[in-house]
Amino acid sequence: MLRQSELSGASRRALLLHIDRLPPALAKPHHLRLAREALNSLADADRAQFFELSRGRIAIVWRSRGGDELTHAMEALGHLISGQPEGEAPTLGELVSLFDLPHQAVWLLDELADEAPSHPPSPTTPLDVQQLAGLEAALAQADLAQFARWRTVMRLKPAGPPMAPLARIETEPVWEERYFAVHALGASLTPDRGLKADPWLFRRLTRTLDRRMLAMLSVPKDIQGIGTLAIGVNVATILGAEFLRFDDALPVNLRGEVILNIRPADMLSDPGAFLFARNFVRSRHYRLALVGVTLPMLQVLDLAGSGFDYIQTKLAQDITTRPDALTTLMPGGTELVATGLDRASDVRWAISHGITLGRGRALTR
Amino acid sequence: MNDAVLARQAAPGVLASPGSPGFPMSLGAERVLADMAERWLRYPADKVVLVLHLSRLAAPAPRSHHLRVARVLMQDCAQRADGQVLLLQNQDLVLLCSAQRDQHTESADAPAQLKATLARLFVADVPDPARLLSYWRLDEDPAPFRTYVSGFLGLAAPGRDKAAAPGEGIPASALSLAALEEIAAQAPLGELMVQQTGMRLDPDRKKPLAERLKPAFRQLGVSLAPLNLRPVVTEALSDPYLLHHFSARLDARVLRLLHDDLRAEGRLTRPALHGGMPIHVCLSLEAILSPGFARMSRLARGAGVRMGIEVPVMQACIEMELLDHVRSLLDLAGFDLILGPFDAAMLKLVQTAQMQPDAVKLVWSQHLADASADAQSGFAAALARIGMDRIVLQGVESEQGVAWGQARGISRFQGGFFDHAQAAARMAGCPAANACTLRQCVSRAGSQGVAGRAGCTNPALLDSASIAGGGGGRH
Repeated sequence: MLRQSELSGASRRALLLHIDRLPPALAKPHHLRLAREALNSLADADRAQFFELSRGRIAIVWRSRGGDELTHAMEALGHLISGQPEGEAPTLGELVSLFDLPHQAVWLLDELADEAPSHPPSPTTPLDVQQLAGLEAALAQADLAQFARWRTVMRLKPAGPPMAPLARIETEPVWEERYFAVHALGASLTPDRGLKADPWLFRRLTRTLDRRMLAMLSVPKDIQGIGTLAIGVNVATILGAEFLRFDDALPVNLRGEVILNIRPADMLSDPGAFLFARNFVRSRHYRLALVGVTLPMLQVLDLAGSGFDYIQTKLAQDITTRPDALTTLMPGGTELVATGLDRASDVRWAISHGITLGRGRALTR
Repeated sequence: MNDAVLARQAAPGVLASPGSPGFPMSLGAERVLADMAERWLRYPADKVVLVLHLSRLAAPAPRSHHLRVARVLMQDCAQRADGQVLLLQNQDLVLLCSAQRDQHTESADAPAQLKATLARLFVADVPDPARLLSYWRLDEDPAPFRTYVSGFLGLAAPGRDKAAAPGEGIPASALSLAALEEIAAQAPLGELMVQQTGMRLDPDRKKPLAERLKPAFRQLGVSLAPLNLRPVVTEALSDPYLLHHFSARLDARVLRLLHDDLRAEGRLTRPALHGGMPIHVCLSLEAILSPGFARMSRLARGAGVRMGIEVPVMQACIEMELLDHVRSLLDLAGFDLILGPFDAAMLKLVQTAQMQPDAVKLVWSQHLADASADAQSGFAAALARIGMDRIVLQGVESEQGVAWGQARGISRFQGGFFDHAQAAARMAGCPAANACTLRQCVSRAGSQGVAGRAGCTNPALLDSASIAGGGGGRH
């Protein structure tokens, strides 16, 4: 539609609502409903078209300037974020982007280029435990090679002033993270159920996926020639027979080059087993990363001396608005890995705040 | 309630059997050890023995991963040092090998390095890992090894192979999961409800114990013990993720039960009405955010019932945004936010005070008492930051736990020791007590179901004794 507008020169107005910029306290279901309702007035605008984008974002394009309708929508959105302490909620300008088309179409396209690769939303009906048992049995036998993916964590090296174009920021691959594409897996094996809809059952399922990944990586030809490697594992997996077999088969050149990604829920679900597993893998020269950490988690976890080499956190609004908190809370001796560096501005922000390890679409384009 | 298992409180591994699946114990390993010992003691040059005394770990350890991981490390060493690993009936692992210097590192010999590695591995499980390990050079002093081996010589032939018992890590079968679903949906919850009275203990040791104890709160929970579940089902519950899923399913029913009981002024909540003794209940964050909780809390507030809601600390840590929302809801209802259960390892990993709970449930274990001086001072600092008046020491089964808690300024306790003290007081005043044992009285008072109280001819006393003295104060 944007390209057509560019070609035809037809005048349009576009509004992009960045719902993903709302802090968690303002992103409860009723807030999201209010945000959507705030845009209803624009539905009356001439030839209004709504677009549901990833990360909950919404775009609306309409003809003419949208005077009253736009004013009403902006007022309602302003009301949503009003009353929040400064710095704890986005400003209206941060929450909403407005574009005059076609001459600002390129800006909007740039925003849309940052969209995640689109895939249909997962079903919200959770698995029940019997389906889980069936799925575990199926996954133990299925050929999962088609769902295996990798992504690269890069070292960021600023090569110019902070606002330099991304092309002038040097990046260097540091390690490769292997994982299964859960969305594709779910769509293939249980199309009517959301694998993540029940987080406890999903966490349980990841143990089966761990075992399959370890089995895949125990085939020498599959890991020939790769450098540093990261895999997600549960504590129970580390202490299980498959991991011990993997460890036994690990080529000498990879000893010390494997990073084990552990999630906070798993660390805390059996802290005694975690501490034992940590001591074991350290003795076998594995590196450890705590992944999926949020700023509130960093505030309550005591990670000093916990043995992690890396803390991986997604660049979220609470972090970008309080970078000092992140610096203060990072335990000594650990490196921060920022994920979700999807836009050039994310990468620049990370570099300007001393973050040197990152992952995201902006780094892999 | 000491026999019962509150679903939420089933700490990982507690329900697990000590065996290690897929890890057959060599029957007659003691005999092999004796034969080898005889030969090695005859030619002891360069021979060493490393014993990992897993039998010295406090129950429920050793857990299957202790055995599995330690054996892999020892076998690795045995391969490099021309040795052999034996697993004895008492779960000790014995490595007999050569003490030649490690060819790769040219440093200490391989078994000595392994000893250091194993000590590091178990540092989280025992206060002094050196106590788990024996390292004997046979050419220097064979006596300790000789004594160790002689201890096994008179043993009867081993019985059932414990390793064949189900243990941790076995994938739950569809059958066991189906059984769990059925329990979550249909189990007779009223019969499964259990209670335990938390006590406040006056620190003045000059007074008799009975005068120092005052009931502080009543914990309500669900026990699956009356269902006599098959081992394969309890095994499934040793998976913390399945346990959380299962508990969350049960929570919805618990909320309905409490709601109905409040409306009918039933036995579960009657003692708490109009400012009576506070009730503690464990609930998941999802349950607290559900409409069922809103309905129950409205009724409770209207009836003047004070409640403390215990949230699993693991869930609280990973869902901090939800926890903030839950805190607001509890504030609104006038309920306390309790976090638990904490053990020594959890205390190390979580800055509990940052979460600003009204109370914290700390689980007593021998580990707390035996911890090294460094660890003790770490615990003391963590507890001081939380505030001793916010801590409840639970799972206290003996005077040792009471003494440990009191020495640190803890005044609220929960556990079998106090259940027995209350039962003894009840029986002293019960005309029908001659027909009962202390254990029966404890068990009946814990149960809220009709079947669980069967045999008691004075059931009113079971409840009245547990509320003697009233609640009072912040819970």
